[in-house]
Amino acid sequence: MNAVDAERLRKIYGPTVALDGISFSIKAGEVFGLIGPNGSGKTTTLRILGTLIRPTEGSATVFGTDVVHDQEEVRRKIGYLPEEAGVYNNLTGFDYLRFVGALYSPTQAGVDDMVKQAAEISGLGERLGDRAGGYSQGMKRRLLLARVMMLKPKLAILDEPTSGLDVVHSTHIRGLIRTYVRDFGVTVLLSSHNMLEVDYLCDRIALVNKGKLVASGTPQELKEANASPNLEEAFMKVVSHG
Amino acid sequence: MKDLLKDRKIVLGMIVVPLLIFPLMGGAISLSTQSALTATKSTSFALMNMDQGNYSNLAVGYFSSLPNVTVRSVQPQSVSDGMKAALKDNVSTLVVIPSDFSAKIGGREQARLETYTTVTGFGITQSAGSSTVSAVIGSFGRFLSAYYIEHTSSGLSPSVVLSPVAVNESTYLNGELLAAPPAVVTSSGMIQSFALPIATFIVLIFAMQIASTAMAVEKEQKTFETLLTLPVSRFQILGSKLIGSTVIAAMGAVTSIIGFTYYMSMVGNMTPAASSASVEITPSLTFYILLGVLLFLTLALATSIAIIISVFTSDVRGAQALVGYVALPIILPTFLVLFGDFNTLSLGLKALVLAIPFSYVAVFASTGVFGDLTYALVGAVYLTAWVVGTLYVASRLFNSERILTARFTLGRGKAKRQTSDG
Repeated sequence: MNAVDAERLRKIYGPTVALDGISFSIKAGEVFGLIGPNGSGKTTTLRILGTLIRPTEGSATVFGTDVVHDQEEVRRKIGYLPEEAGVYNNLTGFDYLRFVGALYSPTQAGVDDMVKQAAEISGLGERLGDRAGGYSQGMKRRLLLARVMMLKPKLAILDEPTSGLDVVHSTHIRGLIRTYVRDFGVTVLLSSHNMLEVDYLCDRIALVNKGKLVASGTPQELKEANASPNLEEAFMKVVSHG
Repeated sequence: MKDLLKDRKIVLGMIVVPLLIFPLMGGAISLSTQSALTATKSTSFALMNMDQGNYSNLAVGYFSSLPNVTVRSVQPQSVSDGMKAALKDNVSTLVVIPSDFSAKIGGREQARLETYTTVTGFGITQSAGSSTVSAVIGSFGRFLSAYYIEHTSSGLSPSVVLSPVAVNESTYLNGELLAAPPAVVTSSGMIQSFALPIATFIVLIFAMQIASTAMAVEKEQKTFETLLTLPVSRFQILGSKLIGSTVIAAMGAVTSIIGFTYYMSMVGNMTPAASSASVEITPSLTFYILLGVLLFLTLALATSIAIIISVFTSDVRGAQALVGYVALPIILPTFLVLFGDFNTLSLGLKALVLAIPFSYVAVFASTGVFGDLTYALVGAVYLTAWVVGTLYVASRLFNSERILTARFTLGRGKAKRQTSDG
C-alpha cells in the first residue's frame, strides 16, 4: 500500500486555480519532496493531505484512508508541520509537548516517553521548562519539529522543515529525519526551497509550477534529464519551460 | 484554557481587576459622599446680631440650643468685616440679624434674616454645608410659627395646626404588606435588582472577549493550523473553546459580582432611602432557578457568537473589535430596563427589547421579582432556539475550510476567502 495516492487534485478559490490536476504517489518509508516557486500549489497540496482543506476535484488517500471522507482517521496517521507554525506563548515547551502527547497516548507513561524523546530531538534542554513565548524563532521551530517526530507518525508532512534554523540545527534536523525514516519507518512528505536539503533528503521529487506537476523523479534523474550539474539549475530550467 | 489562564493580561484584566476596581470605585464615591454627609451632620455658622432685641435674643438662644449646630458670635460691624471674622474661624456662612428684627416680629410683620456665604468650591460638601444652614433657619421659622399659635389663645396645639393630617404609608409587594412607603420599597428594590443586570452585562462582555480571544489567539500565534491536524474532532475543539471561555468568564463573573456587591453596598448605603429606611426584597427559589437557566443560555449564546465572529478574524485585536460591535445589543436592553420600567415601555420598544435574545435576563430580573414568570419561560425557549442555531452555524464553520480561509474585511463589508500562498 502506498503512503499517499493523489489523483487529479484540483483546488479552486474563486477565480484562482491553486491546483490544476496534480497526481502522484509516495511509497511507504520514502522521503518525497514537493518543489516549486512561491504560489505554485505546494502548501495547498500539503494542506489537502493534512485534512485542512478539501480538494475541489480529485481524491487523495493516506495509507488507504480518504482525506475527505475519513479525516479523523487520517489525522491519527499524520504529523503535520505548517510552514508558518507557532507555539502557545503562555505554555512551557514541556506543557505543549504533554498536551499533544496526551492526544496520542492513552497512558501517562506513553506521554512521558514521547516528551523525553522530544526533549532529545529538540535539544532545548532546560529551556523546555520556560514559557515558549520567550523562545527564538529557531527554538520554536525545533520544538515544533520535535512535536511531530516524537509521535513517530506513519506520514510526516513537513512544510519547509528547516525554515528559520541556522546551519548547525538544519543539519541536525536533516540527520534526524533520515534517522526516523530508517529506524521507525516514517514516511516523509516535505516541501522546501533549499535545493541542497532536497538533494540530501529526498528519495524522489515532484516539481510543481502554476498548480501543475511538471516533472518528477529522483534528484539524479531530474539533474540528468535537464542536463544540469545540480538540482537548482534543473529546477530553474523546468520552471522556465513550464 | 490552560494557555488562557497563564495569560497575565486575562487573569489580571478579567479576573483580578474587577475584584479591585469596583470596591475602589465604591470607596471613592463612598469617601466623597461620606464627607458630604459629615458636613451636613454638624452645622457651623457665624451670627452677627445687629438688633439685640427680645426676639433676636430668642433666635440666638434657639440656634445655640440645637444639637450639632455650632454658632460663633461676631461683634456687630459691617457685613464684609463680619464675613472676614467668620472665615478666620473657618466658617463660611455668616447669618445677620438686622436691627429691625424684633420690632418687625413684635408688630407681627414678616421679619427677615440675611445669610452671606463664601463659596470656595463647587463640590457636594460646599452645597451640603450651605443648605444645612438654610435648614436650621427654616426650623427657626417653624419654631416661631408654633410660638405665634401658642400665643393667639385659640386653644389649638401648634403641632396639629402645622400638620393637621398625618400619613402612614404601607406597601404591598407580591401580596405581602410592608410597613414602608412605596418610594422606600422601589428604591430598595432598585438597588437589589441593579446589580444583576449589570453583572450579567459584564459577564457577557467578558465571555465574548475571552471566547473570541481563545480562537483568535490560535490564529495570531499560528497554532490553529496545527491544532486542526491533531486527532480530535472539530466539534471537540469547538466544545472545549466554549467550555474554557465560559469557565474563565464565570470566574470573572464571580469576582465581578463580589466586587460589584461591595460597590453597591458602599454606594447604596449613601442613598437617602437606604440611610432612612429600607426593606429586604427576597425573590422566590423559582425566580433564582429560572434566572440561572436564562443566564446559562445567554452565556452559551454569547460565547457561540463570539467564536463565530473570531473565525472571520486573523488576530486578537480584530476579534475584539468585531465583538465590540456585537456588544451594542447587549448594552441596549440592559440600560433600557435598568433606567426605565420595562412594563411602561412603548409596544415598539418592548418588541425591540424582546427581539434581542440578550434582553431576557435583565427583563426577568425586573419583572420576575413580582412573580411574573412569563418572560423567563418565553426567554428560555427563544434563547434555546438561538443557541441551537448559533451552535449549528459554529459547528458547520468548524467543519468547513472557511475556518482557515474566511476573513472579514471591513472595507468591503463582507467576508472573503483567502487563498493559500504555497
